Amino acid sequence: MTVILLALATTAALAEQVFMKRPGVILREGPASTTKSLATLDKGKNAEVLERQGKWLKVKAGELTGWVGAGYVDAKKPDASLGDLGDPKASEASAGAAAKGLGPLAAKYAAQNNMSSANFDKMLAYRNNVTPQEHAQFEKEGKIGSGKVSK
Amino acid sequence: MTFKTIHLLLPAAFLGLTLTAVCQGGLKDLIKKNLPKEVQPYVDPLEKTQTALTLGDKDENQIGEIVGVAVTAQYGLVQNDKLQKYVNLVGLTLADTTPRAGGNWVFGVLNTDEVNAFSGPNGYVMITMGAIKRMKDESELAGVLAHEIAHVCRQHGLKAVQEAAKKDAAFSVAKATTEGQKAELFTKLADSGVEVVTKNGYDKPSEFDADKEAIPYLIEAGYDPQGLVNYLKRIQPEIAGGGIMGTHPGISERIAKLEARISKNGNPGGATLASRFAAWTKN
Repeated sequence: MTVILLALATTAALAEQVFMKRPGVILREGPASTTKSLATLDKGKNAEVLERQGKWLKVKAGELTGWVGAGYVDAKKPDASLGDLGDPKASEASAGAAAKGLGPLAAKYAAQNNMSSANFDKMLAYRNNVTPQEHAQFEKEGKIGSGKVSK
Repeated sequence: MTFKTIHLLLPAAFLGLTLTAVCQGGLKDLIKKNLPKEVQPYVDPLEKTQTALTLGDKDENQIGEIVGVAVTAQYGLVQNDKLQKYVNLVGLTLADTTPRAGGNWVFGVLNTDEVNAFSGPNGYVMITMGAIKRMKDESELAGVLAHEIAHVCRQHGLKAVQEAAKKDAAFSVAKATTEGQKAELFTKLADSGVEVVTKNGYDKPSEFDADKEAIPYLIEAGYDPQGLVNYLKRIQPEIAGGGIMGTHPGISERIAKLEARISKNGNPGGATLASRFAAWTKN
């Protein structure tokens, strides 16, 4: 009985909990920036670490399971007092994602300064056109990457 | 663009909370300490100073967006889908080896013969066609991208904005309570970001720091870090004549420091991929 309890306690202790350090952290399908985004996780959202691979962590956040960059989480819950000048509702998903258009203050700034965002939007489109299959093939052919492809 | 700035009050309560949180931990910290080094949670270099200027995470992204808009509007993008894809593939491969793996990484090739590269806060990295024309292989491209990626990871852009803000007492984030005041303050910060990235460049310590940080990214991705040195040496004579790489000063010192650091890492070598670079970059 003691052994079982100890084993259970050890399992519970090893289930490492982490918290999202930033708003809009992307939970991805796989450990690569080109894989599908499953959700964006709010700052302070907790998750359980299931697996590690290079700079990536496989986590379970609520009902969702996926991968996040290890640099976006911390063992301690972040303080919520740091505010943003921007509208939090409008820019919620922009911080960790391949951005979808300009945030409200950035859009206003661009308009005030007569800056066209057409080229910027095109740059985002180029990046978002890279598929996970292309990325994986590219790394495999070059024998490069962080270990997620066989070398 | 004008600089006005910002003084921020350091909320004592926030500092207290942070210290309390650091002192807590127990078993969780013990487990964390025993993890392999490569999976230790990343600590943003800005974190310790973040309270000095209460810019939030979303502000970083919006300032990055403004830098991206300003640079791409100024130079335009090369109308070459294949080349743009190639630079994104190399860039994303590198980005996935950094503490900001999976983040907001966007790469673009600028339509100018100038030799330069730029990065805006939160992952907007741009390189000129002039720079790519002077490269011989993929490791050189990776070297320059890794340097710019390092500026983002080390938050040099945001730090520069903060430094500019500290020099001007006219604005205070603490006093920016209305939407109008916040918008005005953001304008000042964005002005600083654009000025730093497109005109003044990062300071020398930031450049050296980005080189230092770039080397492990390159090694982990499997690229030969010597590629960055080879590229810098090739463009060095042109820089001596002035007019290019204006935002990247101190190239001789950079080369010397890079060579010493690569040597310290045991000259690891790695992929150079000259044939692939030629195939992707030819018209």
